[in-house]
Amino acid sequence: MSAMDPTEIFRQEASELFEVLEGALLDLGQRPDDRELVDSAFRALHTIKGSGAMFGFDKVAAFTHEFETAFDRVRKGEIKPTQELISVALAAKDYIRALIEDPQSTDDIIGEAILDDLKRFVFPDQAAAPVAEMVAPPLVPVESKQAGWHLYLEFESHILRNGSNPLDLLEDLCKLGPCFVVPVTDGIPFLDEMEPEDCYLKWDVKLHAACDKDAIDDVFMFVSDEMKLTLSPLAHVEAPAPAPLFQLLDEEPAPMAAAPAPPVEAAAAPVAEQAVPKVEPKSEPKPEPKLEAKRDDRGIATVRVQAERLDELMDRVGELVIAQARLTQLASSGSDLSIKMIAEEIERLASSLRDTTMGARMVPIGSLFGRFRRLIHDLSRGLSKPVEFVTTGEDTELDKTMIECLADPLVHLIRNAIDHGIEDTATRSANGKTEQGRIELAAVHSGAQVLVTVKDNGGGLNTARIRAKAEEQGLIAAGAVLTDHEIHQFLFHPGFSTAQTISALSGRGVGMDVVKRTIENMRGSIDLSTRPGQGTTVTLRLPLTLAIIEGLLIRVGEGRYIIPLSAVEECIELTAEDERSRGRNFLNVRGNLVPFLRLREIMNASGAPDRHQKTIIISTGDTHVGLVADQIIGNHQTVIKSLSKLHSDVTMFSGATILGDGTAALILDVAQLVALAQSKVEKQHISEAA
Amino acid sequence: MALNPTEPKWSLRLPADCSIAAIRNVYELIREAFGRQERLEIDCSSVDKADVTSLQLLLSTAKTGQAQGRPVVLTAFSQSLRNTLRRAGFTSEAMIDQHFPQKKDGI
Repeated sequence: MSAMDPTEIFRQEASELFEVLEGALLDLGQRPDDRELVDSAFRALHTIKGSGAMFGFDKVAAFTHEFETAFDRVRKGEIKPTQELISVALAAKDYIRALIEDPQSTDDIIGEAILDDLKRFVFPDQAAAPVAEMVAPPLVPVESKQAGWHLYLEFESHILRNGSNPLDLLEDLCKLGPCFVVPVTDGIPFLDEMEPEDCYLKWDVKLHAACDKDAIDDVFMFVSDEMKLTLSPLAHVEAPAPAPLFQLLDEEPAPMAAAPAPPVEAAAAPVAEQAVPKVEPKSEPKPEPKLEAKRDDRGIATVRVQAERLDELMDRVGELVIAQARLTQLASSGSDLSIKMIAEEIERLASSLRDTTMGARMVPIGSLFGRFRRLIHDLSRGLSKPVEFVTTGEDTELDKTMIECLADPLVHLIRNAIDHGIEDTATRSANGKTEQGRIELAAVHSGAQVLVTVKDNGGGLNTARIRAKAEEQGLIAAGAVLTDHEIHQFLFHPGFSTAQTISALSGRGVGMDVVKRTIENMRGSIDLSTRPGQGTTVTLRLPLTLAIIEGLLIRVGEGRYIIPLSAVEECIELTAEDERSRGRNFLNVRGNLVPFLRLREIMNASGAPDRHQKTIIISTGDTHVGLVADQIIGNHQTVIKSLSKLHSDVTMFSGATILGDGTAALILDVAQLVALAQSKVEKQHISEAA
Repeated sequence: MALNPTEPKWSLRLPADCSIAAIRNVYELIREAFGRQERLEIDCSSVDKADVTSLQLLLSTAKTGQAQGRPVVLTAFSQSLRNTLRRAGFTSEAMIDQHFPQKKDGI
């Protein structure tokens, strides 16, 4: 196992932190008073800064520090996060990302311009002044009887590895007022016992400021889980307070030789105190209980694993499932009971291992949803269409490969929803709607499928215009009788667009067909429903995984095929009456007419058909189709193998699998079969009409 | 960063980067030097990046030297190292002297 490059680890961590930061900033635009969002953004910034410095990304650390400092006024509640401020903050985030991922593409001037913008919004009255100067509070003269706080800081040993820097925290503490900091060195180990990246120093601090505890907690809020903070009030300071550690944080500290005398004298007492490592002097009253924040002893809850290793593991499990199927078949053909028992045991273990492995590949879809918030934010501003973006079901888990494949289709759907679906504010107002449009992105489990829906409350599809365009392009004959649903399907036709003008976003007719193809390649389907004036809902139906599926093994002639079980509604026998209706190819299923396809004809099967033909009813969305086969063999754990490039033009099959006897079986592409049945029905309609 | 046996006393010059990113290398070098020499001088003049880990390593070196009776002397604290010392609360010469055995003429 090769060790990962630490810089790459930082890049990966930063990538996740950027998602958190972006999400928090975008949410902040909607909920400017949500304190937790501000804290979340700050935590992400703080970690990026600390880790950046640790891994040698000095520019990142410096810029993020400026960003963090400027944004500090938001954290303190001194200014509200306006939309303009959020936009600049997002630009700052993008710049930091570029500094990490592609530093060559960045320019310091861009960073400076972003910081200037940030300061303009954060410090409207002092835009030209340096940030640090503005943030540092004025130094208040210390009164002889001033109250204050006595703090004892003990950090968890790993805190430095996380990128946190206790010295920065001490500086932040000193912003609250004159601070007297004494390092406690009794925890320093001998060289042989030392882990050089661990934190051993502790600090004893006397803060001579009448600030409240919340202000101190704020300083340590990002590390409160990783430290022990003992806090007790200094009721009265008998002696004059010592000189502060820093006059101003950004002031260059004077060389030690030039340090004024008083701090030297002041330092003597605490150093003596340090010999007796008692944190709280007995002379100090304890009107309030000590505040102590100590992290629970948590074990390692998660481990970062490279995605390709998960893919590799899945491949191995797939091979194991195939080998297990062969073993089971071999055992069942013999009479050795002990072999059968072992085969059953291995089958059970392989099944369990498959589920565990597939579970490890599952990723909450929320990680994908988060990306679209920025898209909507930017599109909404660009098109001057205020849009509320609502997501639900972020915890719904999907195979990681599916998540990756879903990104592009969803971008198309969301762009379409904003560009074509949501009306402009004037139209919405005229139609009695709220000026702000709404786009909902939702995910939910439905059996062995995940349904992902993109719903807008815009004007809905213009069925008449779609029909006119379809007629214009010769896709249908003028006056042909079609349902609205059938007309809407033209939207998925390559090159089909009803947009009057081509914009940067949409209108070229490239998009919906790509969406459909991508979803079908994932063995999913796409439904579209619309209500005039009320909006459109696009529903993507997706299998949970692309690697191993439950399949129904059938036989057609001599060949064996797999139908994904998630698409199977029911299995019925083809009756003599159905057989007689050869010309029409419709089944009567409890009063509903369902078209069916004879797989023997499609597959050109040789030999005589079985006497009792079986029909498997499959569905995509609301459309049902029957597939007639010779025999239903049973359930089959199907490890999907891709077809080679030589078979890229084969549309009826979505892949292949290896059966227990070592032979291959093709996996039927349900969407294609349903489409084939529908086209046959349409042809039949047309011939009947003629 | 190298041991220099040609000088009267063996000296070790710390590298420019003594921050957490490079501290393990510095640690290994000090241990190696510490194991060999009776008396060790550590030249801190080149230190450009220092943080808590740098201070801890120097503190540990001094502590270990004292415990083993092998004197360790630090010389020529760079401005960066001084700033870090100051930020960590080692604000006075007295405090620094107490924790870091310095060769005064080397400062």
